Amino acid sequence: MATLRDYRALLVRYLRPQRRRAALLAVLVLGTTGLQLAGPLMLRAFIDRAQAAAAMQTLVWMALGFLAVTLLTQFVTIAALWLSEQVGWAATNALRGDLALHCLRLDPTFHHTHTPGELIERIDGDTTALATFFSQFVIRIVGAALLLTGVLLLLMREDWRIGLGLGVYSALALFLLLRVRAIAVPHIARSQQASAEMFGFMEERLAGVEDIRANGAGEYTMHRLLGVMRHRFHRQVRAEMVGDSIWIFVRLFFLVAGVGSLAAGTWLYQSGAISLGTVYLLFQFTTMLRRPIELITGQLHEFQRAAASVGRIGALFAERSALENGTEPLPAGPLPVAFERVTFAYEGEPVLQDVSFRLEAGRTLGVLGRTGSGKTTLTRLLLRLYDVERGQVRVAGSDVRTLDIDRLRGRAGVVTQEVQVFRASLRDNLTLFDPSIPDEQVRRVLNDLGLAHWVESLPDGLDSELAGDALSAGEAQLIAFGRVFLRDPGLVILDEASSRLDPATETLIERAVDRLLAGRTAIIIAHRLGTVQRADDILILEDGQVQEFGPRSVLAADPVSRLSALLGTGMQEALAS
Amino acid sequence: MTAQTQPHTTTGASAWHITWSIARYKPWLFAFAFSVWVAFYTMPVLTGLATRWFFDALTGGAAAERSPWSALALLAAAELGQVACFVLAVGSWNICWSVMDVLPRANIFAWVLRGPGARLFPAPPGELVNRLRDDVLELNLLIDTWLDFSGVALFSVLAAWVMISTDVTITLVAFLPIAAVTAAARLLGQRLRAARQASRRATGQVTGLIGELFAAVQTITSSGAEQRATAHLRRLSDRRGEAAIRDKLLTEALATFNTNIANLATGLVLLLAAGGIRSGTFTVGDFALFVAYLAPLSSFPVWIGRLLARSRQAAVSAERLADLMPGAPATDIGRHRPLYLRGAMPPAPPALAPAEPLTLLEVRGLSYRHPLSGKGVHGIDLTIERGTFMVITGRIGAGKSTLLRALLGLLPAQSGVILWNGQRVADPSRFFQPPRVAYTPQTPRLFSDTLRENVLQGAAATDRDLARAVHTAVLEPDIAAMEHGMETLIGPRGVRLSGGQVQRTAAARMFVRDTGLLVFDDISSALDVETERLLWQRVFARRDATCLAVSHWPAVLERADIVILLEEGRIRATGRYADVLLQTGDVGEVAG
Repeated sequence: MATLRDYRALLVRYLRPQRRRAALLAVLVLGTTGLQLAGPLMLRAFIDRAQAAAAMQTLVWMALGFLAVTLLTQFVTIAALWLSEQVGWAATNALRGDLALHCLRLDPTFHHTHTPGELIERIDGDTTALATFFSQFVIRIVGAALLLTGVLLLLMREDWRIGLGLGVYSALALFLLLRVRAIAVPHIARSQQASAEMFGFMEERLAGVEDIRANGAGEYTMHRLLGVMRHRFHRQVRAEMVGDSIWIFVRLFFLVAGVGSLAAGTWLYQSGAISLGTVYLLFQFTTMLRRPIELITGQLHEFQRAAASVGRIGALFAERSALENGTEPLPAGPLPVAFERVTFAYEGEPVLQDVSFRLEAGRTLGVLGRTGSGKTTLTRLLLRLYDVERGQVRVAGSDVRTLDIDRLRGRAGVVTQEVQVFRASLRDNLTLFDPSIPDEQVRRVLNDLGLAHWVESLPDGLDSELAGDALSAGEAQLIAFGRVFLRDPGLVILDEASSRLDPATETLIERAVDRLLAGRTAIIIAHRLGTVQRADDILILEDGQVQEFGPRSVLAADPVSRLSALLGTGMQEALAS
Repeated sequence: MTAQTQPHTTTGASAWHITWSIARYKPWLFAFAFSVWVAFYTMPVLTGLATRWFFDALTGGAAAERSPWSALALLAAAELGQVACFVLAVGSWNICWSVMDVLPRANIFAWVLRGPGARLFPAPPGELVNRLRDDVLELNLLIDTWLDFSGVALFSVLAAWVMISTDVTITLVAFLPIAAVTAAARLLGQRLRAARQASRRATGQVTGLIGELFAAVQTITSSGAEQRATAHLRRLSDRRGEAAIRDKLLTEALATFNTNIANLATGLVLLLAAGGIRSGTFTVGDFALFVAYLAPLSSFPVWIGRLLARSRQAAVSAERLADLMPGAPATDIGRHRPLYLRGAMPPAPPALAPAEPLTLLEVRGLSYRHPLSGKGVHGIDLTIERGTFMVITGRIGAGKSTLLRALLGLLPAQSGVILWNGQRVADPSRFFQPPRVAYTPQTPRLFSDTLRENVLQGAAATDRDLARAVHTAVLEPDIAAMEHGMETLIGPRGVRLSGGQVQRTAAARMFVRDTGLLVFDDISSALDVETERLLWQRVFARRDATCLAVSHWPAVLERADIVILLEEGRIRATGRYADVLLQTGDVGEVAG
């Protein structure tokens, strides 16, 4: 749950860069408060003068003065609103970016337990709730608090008993409101969690709608959705009811305060202590108490939402990657790789056991093994998506745990089977949002991949926005190759990379791959023998253990090697492809 | 065949129609909530009258008809009544509101899952969720605003009547600034609408990108692109901030006039009433009543503006939601259906009714062109007999997956006829489902659930059926290695499984449905040679298996009864693998 310290930390961190605009905002808010207090005072003067039959001209001037103050208030209010929105959006956009970056940097274990739909809700939904809070906090809560103080001070000047009484009463009311708030926050958090789950469910099902329909699971999915929505319905109703009880309380408060101040006014007026204008002033000021207290509690509603959001944002920031970052840099050029007695288990299930091998710089390693034998895990350890349990993974002689993660991953290029295409320009898809890569370089790579023609057929060339379903799996795969080509990596990992390509297209990029591998260290993971033909060394894994490792030519020549056995199992057609 | 999807045109009237239908889902509850809200808004008429009596009694001294104390008691009673209305209104409306939240989403999803035709969405799932979140809210806010508006309107009529009966001239002058604001609001309406749309679009881009980034988190992290991707997000966020500020400023500029307009009107009353108060024809009580009424009255034009803006925004939202259900009338968004929010949940849907088994599937002249790229398949003719194995092959982009998806109705074919045992298939998207056909796409989508859930997906299968499907899919060694077996949670979109495991889970999902026709889109792409060999062997060991597959691996092609070679969306050659090789004369083009 969010503590005051959490709020303060967030406010300080994201409002500090906005100091100057925030200061100007404070001045404007002070100005609005002063103007709002001036109104009732002018009305009292007017009533008392009119009752005393003052000159008509004086009364008209007073009325015009009142009108001028009103117009000025309007102007200052809008200026303050504009400024507060500027501050709010600047602050929450910074927060949204930081939060997204933080989550992207978390290790895969985190992403395995949170759907993209849920993260949309937690990164965007929660920050947006905060945006309202940030942008309106100063103007509403601070403005309301100032107005409240001003009204109470002026009331005290009229009659210290009434002023003090209403002051104590207001303080008590606000204290109780805060208590109600504390009760409401966990309900709201639960309601928001149920929302996130519901939208997460929807997002996954929308992404898989073809799978659902073509396999006749529509009715069943609908049934499940109704269950998810029902759960959220009950959470939401409860949260709203508890949250709204604050408003009932506020209304009762004003009922008592309003009637009480009029009663006091009546008594003072009848005893001749105050004028009729002052009775009206008491009445107006008590009515005016209503707006700031209502605003504070109204914002409290937002505040409750924001409190739940702050708590959830804090929890997200508190998620730590299990991976400690190192500092060592990597040398330029091809990178040698070594696994030394590496053992790794994922969620208690052993994946790799005592794996050792050494790949010299510039050589190409082919990794073979059945599905689930741990091939992909090798590359994940190499990129430090996970840490080994025992043993060491070395790149360029250094344990990967001592290396700077960004630089390590920056020097490695990976093509996986699953290619994600972003709904962004072709350029951004290729460069992965790196604007520093010049267009000529992008075009050269597309040319090398034989995609130059395809790009010309697109309406806006490199600026064309790609949508996921407009690309065939093969085209997407070529995009993934393009991403690696552009990065000039010292280590290339092709994970089942050619599996999506039909043999003809594969031939097309053969040459390009040759060029990519030249002068680089490479690891090619493939199920098919043919695709590892270019390998210098072969590693065969089974059940997470090294079954065979050595130069391909040596293993192929050895009639009792596992490689020879694989070559002889009637898979020649795979070899020939 | 289904025609190309027509874009929706939803007018404001149909947005009203939809929301009104949503509101009537619980008619009595809604009627009650409506009445108490209106009563709540109207109560201040009494409060104002009591205030006037109070001040008049105070200045009238002993000559007054009432003592100020009895006027005070009346005031307290009116205020208490208003609090009571509030309690009832809030309680009933919260339930109404939460029901209204569920209904449109349930309707849209029901159509997405079960309606006819293909599912081509205008945006990635992240943005669709954004629509289901915000546009449904926007639609319901129309009713919410209408409720408030009705209350304020009734109050305004009564208040105006009391004021006019007090002093006609002063009332009319006091209304001047209110009328001016109404006119200004109308002028700003157009710009307000444009600003709102721009803000919505910018928001959709931000949420869409966040969804995509986390769906592709491995691509981002393994390329070390976190900083750059976030920088892109920040750029989109900044653009969204600018759009949102514009939108907010226009909306709020009108709203803040509210309190200040009341003061402006008060100033005008002062100006006109100066003489009257001085001479006693316009009492301080009258003045207090005017001031008390002017604050809520001046909010009336804001509510008119808000209602107009809301109904425009609701029209935009209705359109964006209707985009999710092309082919269905937009009014279906508000259709009444059981929601099971209380009481017992209905039992899980029943098992599928048996259907006539496949003897012959014929496709004549099937064409689908992708609207953007112009690529697709053209004039495809196919005949698949029961018990045969047909393999579609060809280069990247030749249209292999498109052909399967158009045949299954997952893409809206522009022309062509499909015959099932000689009978024409009217809506392939609903026809090609179990028990007739099951399908494994090229990139299967799994869900954040257990392995068992993902395979079964509601299929009524015995443990033996399940074990058999898992066996055919060559998944049992993997399951045996998992600590929780079939109950293993596979993570969002199945991320905890390897690519091969995802594909074989999807295959098991297809096998457990025990359909006559199995459609595989490139099942082998993530499987090793041995696993794939076993899988095909087990598929053909099943009785009566009719298979349609996309593949380009010679071992599979050689096994096929018919190979179809696609080239640029057209059939280039048909026959057994050896025949196709002869026909094309170029081995490289088929399989390298």
